[in-house]
Amino acid sequence: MNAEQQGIYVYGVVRADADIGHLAQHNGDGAPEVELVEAGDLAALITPAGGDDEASVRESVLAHARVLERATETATVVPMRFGMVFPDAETVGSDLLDARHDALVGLLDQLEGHVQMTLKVAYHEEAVLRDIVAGEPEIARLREATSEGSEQETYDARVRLGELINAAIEQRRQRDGQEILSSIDSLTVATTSEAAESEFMVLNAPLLVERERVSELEDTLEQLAQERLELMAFRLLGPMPAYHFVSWEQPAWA
Amino acid sequence: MAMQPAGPGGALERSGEGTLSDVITTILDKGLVIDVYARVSLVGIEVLRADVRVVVASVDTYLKFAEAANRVELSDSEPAGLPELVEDVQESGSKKKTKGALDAASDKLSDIIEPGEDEQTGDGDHGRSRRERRERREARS
Repeated sequence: MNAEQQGIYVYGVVRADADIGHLAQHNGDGAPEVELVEAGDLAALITPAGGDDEASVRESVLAHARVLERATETATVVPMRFGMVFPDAETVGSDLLDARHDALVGLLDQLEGHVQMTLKVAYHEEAVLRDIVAGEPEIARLREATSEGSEQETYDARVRLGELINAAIEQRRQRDGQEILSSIDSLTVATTSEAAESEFMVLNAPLLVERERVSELEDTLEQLAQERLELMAFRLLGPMPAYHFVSWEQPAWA
Repeated sequence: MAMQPAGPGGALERSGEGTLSDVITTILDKGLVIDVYARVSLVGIEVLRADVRVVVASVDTYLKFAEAANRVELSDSEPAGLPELVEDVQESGSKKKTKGALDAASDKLSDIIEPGEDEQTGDGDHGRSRRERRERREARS
C-alpha cells in the first residue's frame, strides 16, 4: 500500500486514553485525518507521510502545526519536530513509544495541564524612531547632518547614526521587554526567548502557562497592549503544545 | 457557562498557530527529534526557511536605521528654527513607503509562500474571535 511505502509521519505523543478522537474526523480546516499508533499507555499521532515536492512540504508544515494545535485543545501532547518519518507503524511503537517510554511519560506528566503561548511584541517603527530622535540629542543632530549631502559624504555619519539608533533600541528593548515579562511573571510557569524576527522586535517569548490561566494571561496582555498602543504591537500565539519546553534531557524548570 | 462581557479594545492580536513564518521556525527547530529516522526531504524546507530573517547588527543594519530615521516625520513639537528640516520631512512624507525598509524580507517570504497573506495580521486564526476561542476552550475543560 502506498502509505506503507512512503512511511509514517509522527506529529506527537499523547497518553493512550487521551481525548483526541476529534482528530480522526475531517472537519474542513485543512488538518489531515489523524490516526493513532498505540503501545501500552502511550500513543503516537500519525498520518501517512506526504510527498517531498515543495508544495507537499509546505502543506505538511501547516498540517503539522494545525494537527498539534487541535490536539492541544483537549489533550496534553509532546510535540515532535517537523519531519519525523518512520518506516511503518510497528517501528513507531517499538523505536519511539517503547524505546523512549519513561522519558515520554515523564514529559507528559510535567506538561499535564499546561500549554505553550508565544508572545511577540514589536515597536511601531515610526513611533519608536520618533521617540529616540526626540530623546537623544546626538541622534537628532546626526539625523539633521545626514539629511543632506551625497551618499559618500554622509556615509560615516549615517553609519554612526544607525549605530546609535541600534544601541538606543537595544536599551529600550531590554527595559520594555523586562517590564512586560515582569507583569506576566505570576501567570507563567516558565519563559524562554527566541531570536528576534526584526530589528524592531521587543519580545519573542515562548511561555509555558497553566491552561486555567490562559484567559487571565490574555486579559493582562490586552491591558498591557492597550497601555502601549501608540508604541508597540502585541501578538499572542497559542495555545500550542510545548515545543520550546520539551527535550530528552530533564528540563531546568520542572 | 457565564457569558464574559466583551472587553475593551482588541489591542492584543490573537492567533492560533500564526502565519507560515511563525510556524516554520518553531516546528523546524523545536520539539522532539529521533535522529535515526528519515526526515522529510530538506530541500523544500530550506526554500521556506531561507527567507526567515535573522537579525544581525551590521553596517548594513545601521545604514537602514539611518535611512528609516531620515524618513520619519517628527512630532508637532518640532522646535522653531529648523524650517529647512521641517520642509524636507514634509516633502519626503508624501513619498514615504507604507511599510518600513526593514520589513522587506518579511514581505518577500509572504510573496513566495502565500501571495496576498499579510505577515503582520497572523491570519492563521481561522476567523475566530478571542471570545469565541475562549468559549471553545472553556467548553472543553
